[in-house]
Amino acid sequence: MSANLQPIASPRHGGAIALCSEPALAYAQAMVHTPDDSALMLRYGDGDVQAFEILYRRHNDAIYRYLLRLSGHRDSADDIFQEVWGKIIKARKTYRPTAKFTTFLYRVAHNCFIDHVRRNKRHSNNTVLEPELHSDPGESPETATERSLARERLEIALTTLPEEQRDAFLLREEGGLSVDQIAAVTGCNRETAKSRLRYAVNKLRSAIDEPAETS
Amino acid sequence: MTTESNDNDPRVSDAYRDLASEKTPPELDRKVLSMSAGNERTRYGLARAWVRPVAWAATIGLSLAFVLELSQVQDRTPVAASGSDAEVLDEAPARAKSNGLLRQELEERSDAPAATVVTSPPVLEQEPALDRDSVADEFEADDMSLVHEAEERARLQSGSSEPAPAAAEIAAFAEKKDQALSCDADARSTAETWYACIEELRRSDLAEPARLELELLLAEFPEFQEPDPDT
Repeated sequence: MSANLQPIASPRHGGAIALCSEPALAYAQAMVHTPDDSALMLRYGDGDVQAFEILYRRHNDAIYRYLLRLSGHRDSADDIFQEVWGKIIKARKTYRPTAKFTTFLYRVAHNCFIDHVRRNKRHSNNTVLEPELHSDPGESPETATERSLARERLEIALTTLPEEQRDAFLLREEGGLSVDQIAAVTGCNRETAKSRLRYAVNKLRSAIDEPAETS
Repeated sequence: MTTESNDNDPRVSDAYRDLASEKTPPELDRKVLSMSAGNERTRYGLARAWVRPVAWAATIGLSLAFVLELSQVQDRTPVAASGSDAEVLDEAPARAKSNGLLRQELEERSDAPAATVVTSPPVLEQEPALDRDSVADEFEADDMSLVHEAEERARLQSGSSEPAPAAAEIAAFAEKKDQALSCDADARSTAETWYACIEELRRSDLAEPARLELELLLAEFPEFQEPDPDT
């Protein structure tokens, strides 16, 4: 072993023993090209505000959409969104990269949503959000209408899904989480998470295919 | 066989991607990034920030009120504080209460606050004059002699022929009445004179002040033997 390679055990790195010549740059070397979320969070914990901004820009829209679809209200989504990031900011000193950062982030978001639901019951009256309209320039009016209707049907179907199924579907779509990660975030076992996801996908598929079946 | 592919339909995903294209509002971005730089508190953090100062202020305020209340209670019991007997300490507030009964009665009748009547003569001049006849009807003849005496004295002090304000008369009367309800310092100089004063109080049907005075006498002169009333 080289004299300048010393084993270090850092609580900030989950207590893992790492070998490196310059302990202060233990995580910095790993993110020369693509900074990992956890590494960015650790850098932010060390006072690098720019690292947080990168991290935030990666996840802000997905988290916002997750909360928006889950709560069904823009005001609620705004409140929970701020609360989620407030908690992430507060956790910067104690953060340990024991799991994937996305799992940690969505777990915080999920818990904030549950807390919000307990605080005020208004979420129970979910409203269908107005979809933002996008149209391709080369798209025929018929196709555009069909797409618009499909979006509307999907939106309604999403709203009518049971909360757990909608949560599982949104975690998959927005967070890109696996079934195991969904189970970890929602605090249920793998089979339950898988079942919820399957039911959700089946219902949404039926909603999309509905006009084709009827015609 | 159930696989993860059953839980994921590309058509559903595409349809959802097509639908969900919302972006975070720029003002939310600004708020969060400002929070991350430590420039702004969260909404709930802001609410929590109030709790501690308010709790401290409430604690200090209550403590001050309690200390003030305690100091006022101590001020009201000077006789008890100077005495050595615990029983005297217990009786002191009752005695003070008894001595102040007449004054309180007068004050209630005149609808004037107690502190104003006794301690603030300049304010008294602005007080509405009491109906002298109605007050006079309330007192017995000997009480009225005290009132008249106070009236005379006030008139002499002011140097005018006009009668002094009724509230001042009543305050002076109450003071005199207080003195009449208890023995003065001369009477308390010896056990015999003190007891004579107590006898005087008994003869005046002031049994309660007489009892209190006797207790004070016995506390001050433990060797004093009360004479047998039959002998």
